Formats: sequence, C-alpha cells, structure tokens
Amino acid sequence: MDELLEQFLIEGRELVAEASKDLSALARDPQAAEALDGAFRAIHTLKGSFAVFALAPAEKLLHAAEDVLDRARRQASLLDAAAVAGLVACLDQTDRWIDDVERSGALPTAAEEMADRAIALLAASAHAVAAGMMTGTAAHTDWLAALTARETGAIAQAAAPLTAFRYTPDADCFFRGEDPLGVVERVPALIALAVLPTGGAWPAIADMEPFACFSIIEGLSGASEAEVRAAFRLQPSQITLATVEPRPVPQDSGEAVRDKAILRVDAARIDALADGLGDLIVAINGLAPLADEVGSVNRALAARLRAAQADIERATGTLSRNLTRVRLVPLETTLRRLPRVARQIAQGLGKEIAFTLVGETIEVDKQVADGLFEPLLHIVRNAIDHGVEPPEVRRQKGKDAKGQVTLTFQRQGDAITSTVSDDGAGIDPARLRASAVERGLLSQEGADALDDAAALRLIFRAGFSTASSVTEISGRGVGMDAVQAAIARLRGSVEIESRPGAGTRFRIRLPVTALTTRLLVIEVAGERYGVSLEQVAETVRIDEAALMPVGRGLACVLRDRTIPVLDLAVLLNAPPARGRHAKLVVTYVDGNPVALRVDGFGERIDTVLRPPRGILAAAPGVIGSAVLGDGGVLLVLDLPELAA
Amino acid sequence: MTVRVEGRTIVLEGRCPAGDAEDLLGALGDHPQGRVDIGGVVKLHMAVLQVLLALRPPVTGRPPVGPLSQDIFRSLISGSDSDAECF
Repeated sequence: MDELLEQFLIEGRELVAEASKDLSALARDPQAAEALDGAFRAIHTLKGSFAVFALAPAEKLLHAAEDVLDRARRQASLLDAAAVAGLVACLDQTDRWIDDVERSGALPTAAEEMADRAIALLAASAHAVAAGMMTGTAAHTDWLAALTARETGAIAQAAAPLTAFRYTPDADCFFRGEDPLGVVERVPALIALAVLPTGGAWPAIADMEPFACFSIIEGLSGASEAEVRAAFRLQPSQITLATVEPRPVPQDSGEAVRDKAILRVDAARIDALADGLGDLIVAINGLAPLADEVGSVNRALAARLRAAQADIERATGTLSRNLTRVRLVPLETTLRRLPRVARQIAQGLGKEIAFTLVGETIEVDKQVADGLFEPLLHIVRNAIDHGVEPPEVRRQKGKDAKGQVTLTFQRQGDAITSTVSDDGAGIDPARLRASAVERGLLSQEGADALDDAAALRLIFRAGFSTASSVTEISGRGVGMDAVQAAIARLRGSVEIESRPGAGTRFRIRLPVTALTTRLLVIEVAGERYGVSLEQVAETVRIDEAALMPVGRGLACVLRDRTIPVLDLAVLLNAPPARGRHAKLVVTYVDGNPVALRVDGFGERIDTVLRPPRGILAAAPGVIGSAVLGDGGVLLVLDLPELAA
Repeated sequence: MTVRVEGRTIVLEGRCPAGDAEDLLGALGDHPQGRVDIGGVVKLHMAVLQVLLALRPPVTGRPPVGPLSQDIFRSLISGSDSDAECF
C-alpha cells in the first residue's frame, strides 16, 4: 500500500477516535472547553488529511463540522445534545469513509449525497444552538463572537490569552458622577476598544437623551481577568469578562500532537521482538537441565552455571517487562469503532440507546486489545438486540425510551475487568432452562437441578439461542459460545448476571499482559503437548484400579468428590493410555472438575504462546503453539474445550 | 464653558464634563451642517463622546495627547462608517 495512504489510514482513525472521545466528553459535560478545543483540532486536522487525497465530500463534511465547533468555541456557547449528535453522525460517516478508502482507495459514489445529508442534519442542530444562544444566559456569548470577529488582527498577534470585557454602564451613571470612559482608561494593557450603542443602533438626534448613557464599551486587554476585573471593581454588575485564547494557527494543531516523543513502530516489528524474546526464554529453559547434567560431574561448575543462569533470567525478566510495556496499547484504539457500530445496530433495530464507554484509556497488551473487539462487539450487539426493549415497550414499563448500554474497563493489578451492562429486559433463567430442555441440551431433571446462576451460563453453550425471533443482527451463526471461546483464548473468563426486567451485566476478566504463558508439558500417545498452567487445577497420579466405570465412561474419586475421567489420547484420536498408574490433569469445564488421563508429565516452562495459524486455527482444542528449547514445536491444547 | 459655537464650527475645549453633552446636542441641533473642532480638548466625558458617535458630525482639530483620547479622536476624525468604533 502507498505509504502516504497507509499513514492517512492510521492517523485518520486516530483522529476520529480522538474527536469521538472529545465529543462524548462534550455530551456528558457541555461546558468541557478542553474537549471542545480537542474535537475542533482533531476534526480540523482530519479535514486536512482528506484534502491531501482530494476526497472532496469528506472535506466538505468535516469543514461543516469544524465550523459548528469553531463557532461554539469562539462564542463560548454550549453545544446541546442535538448538535453533538449531529457532529457524531459526521464523524461516523467519516469513519466509514476511511474504511472505504482502505478497501477501495476511494469514497463511495454516493459520498456527495451522504455528505449533504449529514451536513443538513448538522445545520439543523447547529441552528438550534444559534437560536438557543439568543435566550437566557447564552445571549451574552454573542458579543464575544462579534468582538473576536472584529478584533481578529489583535487576537492573532497575541502570544498569551487575552481578556475581553463588555462594560454596559447603567443608563443613569452620569448622574452618579461616573465617567465610563474614565473607568475604561484604568484597564491595564488595553489592546482594543469599541464604543457601541446599547440598542444596536445610535438614537436619532430627536430621541437623544444627553443625560443617559446609551453606550456600551467593549475591549480587549492583555492583562489577566482578575486585573481587568479590578479596574471595574466599582461596577461589578455592569461588566462581563471572558478569556480569549489566541487563535491557533491551524497547521500547529497537528504538529503539537506529533511533537510528543512518540515513535510509531509497525506492530509486526514488536511482534518479531516478542518472538525473539520468546526464543530467548526458551533457550534459557534449556540451561536448567544442562546445569543438572553438569552437576553430576562437577558440582562447583554446576553452581557457577546456575548463577550465570540466574543472571540471564533476571536480565531477561527485565527485558520482558519492558517489552510488555511497549506492547501495551490503550483500549480506545481498538474500541473506537464500537460506539459507532452500537449506534448503527440500534438504528437498524429501531431502538434508542445511549452508549457509554468508561475507562477506555486503560492500556493492555496489544494481543488482548485486538482479541477483545469481537467478543465485546458480540456482547454489545446482544445487549442492544435482545436486552434493550423497543422504545414503546420501555415507555410502557416506565423506563426511559433510550436504553443504557455501558461498557466499562477497570484495571485490577495484572488483570482488567470489563463489564457490558444494559438496563433492558434481562434474562429469565426459567426460560433458559425450558429452552435447554426443548433443544435437547438438558434433561428436565438436569435443567431443574441448575441454580439461576448456572442456568444463565447456559447461554454460553454451543448453539444456544433464546431470542424468540432471530434477527439479522445477532443471527444464529455465532453464539455466546464463540464469545466465551474468544475470551478463553485471551486467558480470560466471563461471568453473567441478570435481573429480569432490570438488565444484564457481563463481567469479563482478562490478563493485562499476554506475553508469556506458563505451560506444563504433557505426554500423550508418544507426543508432547503443552497445556496452560492456568487451565490446570492439579495433577494427580492414582492407581489405575481406582478408575471406576460409570455409565460408558470412567470416573475417580478425588477428595471425596467423584469426577469424570477422560482419556486425552482418545480425545486426540490416538490409542488410549495404558499403565498401572493413571496420570491425571484436572481442569474445569463450566465450573465442574474433569480429569484428563495422560501418559506423563514433563517440565514446566515459561514461553510465548503463538496464536494458531493456518490449519491449526481450524483445529478444535488448540490454543496455539510454542517453540521449545531444542527448536521443536509444542502444540498447546485447550483442555476445557477438549473435555467439554 | 467648554462648548462654544463660532460660526459653523462648534468648538470643544479643556475638560469636557457630562453637562457638555446637552450643550453639544443643542449646538448640533442648531447647526446640522456644523463641524466640531476638538483641537482644544484635554479630556472628553463619555456623555459627550456618545453624542459625537451617534450624530457623526465632521470633526476637525488635532486630537489631544492622552492615554485613550488620542485614539478615540483619531477615529472620529477619520470618520468610519461602521457602527462599531474601533480604536
């Protein structure tokens, strides 16, 4: 791909994310001046980026959005919800166009009309803003707009913020011996001054009342607001002050972002570095057995070798931690599309939602961030599709027509917790039990035996869907089972809570870093495999005679509990394990312990897990692969998936 | 008396207080084509200034030296048509 275009795609998306973040801040707090400035800068820069590629409709749309923001900025007026929504729509459109440009190198043919539609929407909402300004407290901001327009030259030359003042002397101030001109003379560092008629026009000679003050004095001062206020200390009620920022030179805004010492590195290079580090860790893993071997010949030499090994391990640990930090990316980069997609989904379903994203600045390993988008999108989609009720139903139930869908992230030590909650209809455990029986997934007794929490977990079963009407959006193809699998691949877990009528909440726990995984090497049917230690509850060695046939399978008693025993070799289509002693790896499947029989246990290693690629990606029960110290490749198994 | 009429010229002199506004207004009513000479003004009160701004008579004379007044008078003399007087 053209390097310039590539840069545009990266930066364009970053700017969209930046502007989106600022706009959602503005939606929460219309007075957030920094967010207003931020959104303006991002959209301004974005417009410039589109201009480079002569993508005129996008440029036009962004220009309109920029205008609305600029006006709000200069007039210090508040953007209402409609105006922010109009701006968000513009940004959503822009984001889709960036996708189009990536796909086809051009905007769609209907881009011009799309731009016009979005601009019309924006104009309608912006008009409301302008109208709102004329009433109430917003009215005063009008003068500031006129002043900044009038004094553009002076403002452009200013190096520091200026103080604008509007002094409306009382009509009868002359009778009190006041001279407004004399008052203004006391304003320090006066840069500009204007005398204006109070009514908007000077009175005719016949209507003129020489003893009444019918003038307003406006000006700009280089002094601080406090200093200017001090000059008017005897007329506090007649004065309005505002800080005027020197107008940014537009080109500077983009530069300012780049000025931060940020190095943009291709993710593949970091991955290569991580792979290299993984190989190093693997090689170091080879030192321990070597030291043992040396120890049988020369104990002193073995001790020195172990000391050297410890040093290398320490240094590698530091390197690994630093590399881990390099790989940390803020979640917002990955999630930037989510609010837009959520709005689209809601729109397509005729539902109204308010989508809130909290804590998206938290940084996680890139692998975690990348792997999180799909499952989160699926949960959000479900929340909107199956959780949030249609507006009329919500009104009947006394709820706000707009459904709340909230996605939050929280860091807790080395883990992050993400919750997706909605205030929709909730999930009825009784309905899930009935559904499971209906689909033949559970017997009636089995279903009855489930408590509510366990019944809710039924939605994670493959092929389980409770929606009475299958919608185009959620479909049936990918269910919550895929969500759980995706989260498990990130070594995370997902829980669900729901209150019928009140809403549903998914809580996902994920490791912040995913770089190295502790693996247990196991032997099955003459092959070596790895299993993540996080999936291993315990390893036990029991007499084969202790395995009891139960139904068509086997079971054993561990700590007074009967647990099923499966032969891992059989699960892998190999001849079953034999031997007087049964070696078992205990894992948990849906919260229940299951023992898997293996031929033997090997060493425990720290290694980098590579996600499955090619044929492996399609193979069930494989989390990925790892390279061993001797260069061999270890297939890493997903025990719960194999045992399920 | 700081407001004097000399022929068709209204002369402002010295420190013009608020009371001068009424005199100036009267003089300008009497002489709609009259010009205002501000050469001798030391200080102008807001009340007087707003009459000059509202009626915009031709202004002559060298503006006095002062922190504000110099700019104020210069603009009056140059006679901008704009509603807002920028100094």
